Amino acid sequence: MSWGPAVTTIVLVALQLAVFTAFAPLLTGTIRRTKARLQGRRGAPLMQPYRDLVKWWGKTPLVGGTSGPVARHTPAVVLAALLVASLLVPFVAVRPPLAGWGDLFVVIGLLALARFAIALAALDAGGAFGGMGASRDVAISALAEPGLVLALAGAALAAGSSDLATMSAFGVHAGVGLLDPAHLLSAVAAGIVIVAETGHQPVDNPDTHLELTMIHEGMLLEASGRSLATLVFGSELKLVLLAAVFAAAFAPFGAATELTPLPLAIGALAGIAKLLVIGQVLALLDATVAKMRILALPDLLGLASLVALVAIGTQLIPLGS
Amino acid sequence: MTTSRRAAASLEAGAGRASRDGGRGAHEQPAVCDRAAALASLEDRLGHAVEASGSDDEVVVAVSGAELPRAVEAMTALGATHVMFLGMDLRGLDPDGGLAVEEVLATPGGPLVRLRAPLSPERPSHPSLTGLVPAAAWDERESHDLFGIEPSGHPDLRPLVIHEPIEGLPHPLLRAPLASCEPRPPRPFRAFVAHGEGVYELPVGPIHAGIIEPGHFRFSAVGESVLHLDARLFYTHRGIEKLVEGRTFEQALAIVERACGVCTVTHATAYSRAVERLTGTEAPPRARAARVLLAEMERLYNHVGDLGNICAGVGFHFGTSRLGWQKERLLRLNEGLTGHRYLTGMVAPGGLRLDLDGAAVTALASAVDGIDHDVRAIVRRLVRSDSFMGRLHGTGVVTAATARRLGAVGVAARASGLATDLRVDRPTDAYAEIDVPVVTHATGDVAARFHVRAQEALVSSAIVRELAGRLPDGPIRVPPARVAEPGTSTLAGAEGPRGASWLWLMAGRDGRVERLHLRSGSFADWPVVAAAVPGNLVPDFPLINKSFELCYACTDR
Repeated sequence: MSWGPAVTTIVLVALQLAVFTAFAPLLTGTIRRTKARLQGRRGAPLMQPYRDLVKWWGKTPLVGGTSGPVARHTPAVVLAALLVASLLVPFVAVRPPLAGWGDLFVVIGLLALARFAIALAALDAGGAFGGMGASRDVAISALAEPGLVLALAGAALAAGSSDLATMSAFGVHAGVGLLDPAHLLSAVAAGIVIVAETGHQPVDNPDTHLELTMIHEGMLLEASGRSLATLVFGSELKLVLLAAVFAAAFAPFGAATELTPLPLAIGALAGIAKLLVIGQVLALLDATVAKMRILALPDLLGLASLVALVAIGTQLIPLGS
Repeated sequence: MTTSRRAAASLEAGAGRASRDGGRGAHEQPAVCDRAAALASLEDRLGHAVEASGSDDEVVVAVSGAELPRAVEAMTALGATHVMFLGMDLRGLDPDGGLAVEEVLATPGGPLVRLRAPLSPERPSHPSLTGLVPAAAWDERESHDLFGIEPSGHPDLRPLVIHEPIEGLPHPLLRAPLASCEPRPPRPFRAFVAHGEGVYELPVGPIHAGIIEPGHFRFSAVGESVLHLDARLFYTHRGIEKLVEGRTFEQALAIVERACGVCTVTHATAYSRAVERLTGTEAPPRARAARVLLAEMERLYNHVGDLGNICAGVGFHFGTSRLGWQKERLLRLNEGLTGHRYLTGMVAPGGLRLDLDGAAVTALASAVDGIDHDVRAIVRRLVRSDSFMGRLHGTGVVTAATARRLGAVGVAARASGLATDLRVDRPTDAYAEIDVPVVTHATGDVAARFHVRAQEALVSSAIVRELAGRLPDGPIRVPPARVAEPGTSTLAGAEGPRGASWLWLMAGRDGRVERLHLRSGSFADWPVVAAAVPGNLVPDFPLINKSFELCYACTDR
């Protein structure tokens, strides 16, 4: 069976978009369910995140008198940036849907664009908590981004390319041989950053009602209706996206190397399984770790960068053999 | 890790660690003072003989408004502490009665001293006591708002209770307009904020993202560090003290008891004790024991829930949900015991309105024992979690000096090393017959308030189990021995979950309420919260606030 390259790309794009968008709220639902179970609660139905989105989507956004066009257009910018980024990440196959359109630095750049837009919108709304949340979020990401870049650079160094497809293919071919100390250190660093970037404990508490402790939620306090639905969906999508980046760089096992139905099916199942596992780890953290004091966060994120640097160092400096 | 382990060990050692004498001896040992010594000190300071009435445990001394500060100085020199300051309009009983203020102080180990100063209804004013007794600052602002009594020289006379004075009704508790009554111009709220390079102002509330009581907080912060916190409360002011005027004691009970939903036994007990003092009534033994049992159940469910709330302050869901469930179990016990999850409608003047459910009392000891066991296990796991305890240590420190200066009560005072507990200092009902260890902690931070609460919960559970086993039989209520004489007044206190709550009561005609004033533990402790926050991080405020867990409704009334 062979398809033309254009058809292949279109099919892969459609598939990945469908899986990511359909699955993102469910991933959040599974995290919440596990968290509830770990607390001894029954928890909301798995479908609750979808219901929330539908509910908000049906409501007209209320716009404060102080907010301007930035707040109005931000949801679209955020969603577009995240959707494009999600097409640059290999998920089902080692090949991302838009192969060759951008490497991991483009993905990181698009994530930064989405964050920048949300922060601007939070400031634009003119509320006290929006500004507070935005300044905290930007401060944290300024510290987290180097960690993520360094961690991914460690993996890229081993693969010899910063192209996620190449990195992914390298990982699949290396098999168990991929699990050397440098790789594991990079993975730990990336893991810490992903916890921070997706707003989970101990960095941020995704279901707090305490305004003064909010980081990501603080930026969304002024959003309502359709805007809120888009932004919340954006955070759910970002979680899937970052988990997929992590999987592609550090655990690409199972991803299809050939674009034929059976490997693709296996790849899709493996991809979803990896997302669910990452979600469960986040849920476990949420349920068992207290939030850190905010001024201790630079230490945690600095640690991530340091670990990632050590990983790179072990690859550049020949030790022993 | 060592800190957590040590904390776990101290929890294991249990509440017996700080005994009644141990707690006191470690900190201060004020000389015991009796009625004669108090009066001698007063006469010495004022330079003339004073007219005193009342009993051995409660002395009313008439002083002039100008003499008030010197009289207060004479009392604080003896180690007396501020109990309450209130205004009153005596023209309800006697058209020529005028206005008066009363400063009540508690002498250590001795009587309550009530310094009453009559004020002219022309222009009621007295020298402010706030400089001498900072704990009186809010009381004076309250009497300024409600009576138009001016504390001259008060450092901060912004409206407290009445945010925006109502046109034509400037002072709601006045019985008749003042001769000099001039309508107060509405004054917009002016928060005290810091100014300077990089200082920003952060307004929070009164509507919050969560479902909590309303309060407005104005932070001045540099980055994440708080420079100053100004709190504006009294959004739930319902005018309870006005509402009970002229009601019978029985009618007023239902209102006073509902000043707050989670301190009902505390308020009902303080009120009932006050009515009993005015009517010369003594509750029967069964009621006296049952009141203590109920008060301890109230403390227990509040403390257990509040420990869970501290966990919520740092997003530690394990503790929040597990302790929330233990609180729910206690509320269900309450329901079985009294028919009401929050114990409303039980305590009444003369005893109890309803008897405790016999079967529930029989099963109570083992049920509380089970909850006690589970709470211990949860708290043990909490203090062993470094990520949790790390947030509590060193956060929101209140020094012993600050606590004493601002008149802190309850957990807030004991966590800063002040061994003060009405159950021990002025025992009423069955408290005189049982040994209540006073739990104190020296560090004054959130961790200290956490430990004090955890250990006090265990003390309460022990008291409940003891009393459930030996609740005396007999009648639960006696009728009033006599009708309260119009114009007589008294005050009674009760140690609630949030500290000493005092209720001042004056009888009117036909055994009705002439004037009632409720100063709850929360009212006393709010200024302490505001003092605990500067120097901490903005996102730590919810944690600090939850470590006090004060009621807004009790404060606002």
